[in-house]
This record gives sequence, C-alpha cells and structure tokens, in this order.
Amino acid sequence: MTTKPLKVMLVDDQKMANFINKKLIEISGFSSHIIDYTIPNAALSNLDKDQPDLIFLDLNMPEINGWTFLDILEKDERPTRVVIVTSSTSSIDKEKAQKYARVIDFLTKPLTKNTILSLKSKLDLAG
Amino acid sequence: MNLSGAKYRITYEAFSKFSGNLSKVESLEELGKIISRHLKYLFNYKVFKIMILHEQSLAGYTFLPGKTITHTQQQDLEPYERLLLKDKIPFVNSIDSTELPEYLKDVKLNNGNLWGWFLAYSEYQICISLVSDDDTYFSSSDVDIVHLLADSVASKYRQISLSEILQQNNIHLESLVTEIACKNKEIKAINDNQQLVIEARTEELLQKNKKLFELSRLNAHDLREPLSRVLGLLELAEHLPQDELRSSILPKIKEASGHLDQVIQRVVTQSEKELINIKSSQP
Repeated sequence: MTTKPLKVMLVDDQKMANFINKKLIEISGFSSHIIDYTIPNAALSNLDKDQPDLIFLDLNMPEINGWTFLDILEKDERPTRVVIVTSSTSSIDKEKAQKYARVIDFLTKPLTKNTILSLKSKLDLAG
Repeated sequence: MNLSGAKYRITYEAFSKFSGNLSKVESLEELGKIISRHLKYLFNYKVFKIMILHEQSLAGYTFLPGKTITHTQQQDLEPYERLLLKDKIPFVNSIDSTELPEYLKDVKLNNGNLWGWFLAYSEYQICISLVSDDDTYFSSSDVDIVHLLADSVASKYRQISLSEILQQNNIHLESLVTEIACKNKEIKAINDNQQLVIEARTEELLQKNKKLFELSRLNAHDLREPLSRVLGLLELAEHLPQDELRSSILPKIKEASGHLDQVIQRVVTQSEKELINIKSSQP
C-alpha cells in the first residue's frame, strides 16, 4: 500500500465529465487530491505547479486533443502516468494508446466505482 | 497409205503442241487465243465454231482465218445448233454462202459444206459446227481430231470454271472474315465499355458505402459522449446519500439528458441531409 497520497489531474473539456469523475474518484477512495481542467493548455502550463502523479485524459477535445496533449507530455522529463478516459469505443484509438509508455490504462466512459477500484489495485501492485 | 500415215503423224504432233500450250491457259480469253493459233495445223476449215453449254451459262468461239468471235449468249446459237442440241445427231449438209449467218456474210464458198457434231460430257454439252468447201477441204477422216479437240477444250473449260468459282468463293470468304473481324471489334468495344461502366459503378458504390460508414461512426461517437455523462451520473447516484442525490445529481441528470436529446435531434437531421445528398448523386 502506498502511504503517499496520490495526486490526480483531470483533463476533459466537459465540466460535467470532470464533476462525475472527481466524485467517483473520491467515493472509491482512490484519491482526495484532485485538480481538474477543461482547457488542456491550462493543464499543460500548470504541470510544474500541480506535479500530478496521474492524469485522467479525455481524447475528444477542441484545440488540443488527447493525442496532442500526450505528444507534448512526451517532452516532459517527469514520468507522469496517464489514464485515457474516453467515450470512444474504437479499437484503433486503443491500439494507438499502446504506443505511449506512460499510458497505463484505456478506460471507456462512464467510469464506475468498480473500474476505479480495479485501477487502484493495478497501481498498488505496480508500486 | 503412206500419205495418210504422214498426215496423221503431222496432225498428231500439231495436237501435242496444242495440248502443251493449252495446259498453260488460265482464262477463257486465253483459251480462245490458243485454239485460234493452233486450229489451222489440226484440220482445214473456213469457219469453225464451238459452243459450250453449262446449266444456264454459255461460252463459245467462232474461228475464221485471222479472226475470232466470242459468244456468251443463248441468242448466239444458230437454228441448226438448236436442232443439234435437240436431236444430238451429227450431220453434213451442202451450204451456200447466202445461207450463212449475218456475221459470216463475207465468207465466200466454192461448193460449201456445213458439218455439225454434238458431244455430251458429265456437266457440259458441246455443239461444234464447221464450214468447209472444195478449196479448204475437210474430210471425214478429220472428225477424230475434232473430237479430240472438243475433249481437251471441255476439260480445260471445266478447270477454268472451277478455279473461277474457287476464286469467287475465296473472295466471299475473305469478305466474311473481314466482316467477322469487324463484328468482333464491335463486340470487344461493347464489352470494354460495359467493363468501364461496371468499374465506375462499383467505385461509386464503394464511395457511398464509405460515406455511410463514416456517417454511422460519427453518429455513434457523437451520441455516446452525452450518453456517457447520463450514465456516469447514474453510477454516482448509487453511491451518494439521498439528499445529495436530490440536490446536486438529479438536476445534472436533467441537464445531461437535455443535452443528449439535442444531440440526437441534430444527428437525425444531419443524417437525413447526408442520405439525401448520397441518393441525389445517383446517375
């Protein structure tokens, strides 16, 4: 069990999506330290300040989509891990996500308490 | 005895030469020329006429010293020839120059004789007539050589006719071959065109299918996004106390459902528009 509290960043252009995911993460005891952004650029420029351990990233966003976000993140030295959270069920997207080492999971909306608990045990096992 | 033997030998040699030249003949025109050239070495004559009849066609020549007249029509048959064709009986009659046909009016006769023979072959009938007189004497011993001549001319005529038929058949065949080649070309052109039409049509259908697939994919994605929020809120509802559910989740479910409804309406309208576009681009 990790003793250090997990810092989570949510990036989704839909405010309501962030609301739902934040609540679920709290309820399931996954993390209590959650920052959310509806503007991807804002999230990127606050990386230094926020220092998240894990980013929940939506793919379908205007201006900077999830893939561009990942490409920019690749240039960052920190090994910040990413969980993709998308309404897409496309297998093409899922395959594409595997090319990024920092992407540890690909989850389809809506998240449930159970999915978050599975993710938690996955992280606990990995250390 | 010696005299007739010598005459027989000379005539036979003359006939050999005639046969030799005849074998090289390839047309009716040449046939007339060759007979005309050799005739005087075979026997004496004032006028020699040979008519070859084959079904409806007729070919014939009248030979005078230094002159040949060609016959191609039934009306060139003289009355005594028609009689000969009917009775088939050879004859020799004395004849006066005034009794000769119009085109032979210039022939002068001194005790003239008109000879006539009929010869039948498998496909032809030959009618021969000869005018002689005391100055150009034709004897009955010359009849054999006349028959020999008729046999040779008949077989040559047959050969020429057959080769003409063959040539005509060949020309006909060639024109048929050309026609078939033309038709083949036409058929190929039709087939090629058909192929192009099929290819264009297939390509068009592929494009339309692609468009329809794109459309359904986009629709599914656009619909899933707002739906996932409704479902996400319902998931949350299960884990929250009643009062919080009522105060903060239910209004959000209402909002998210309203948004989903808007998206559904937009997707339906757009799909209809796209489908009309795809349909109207049909040829």
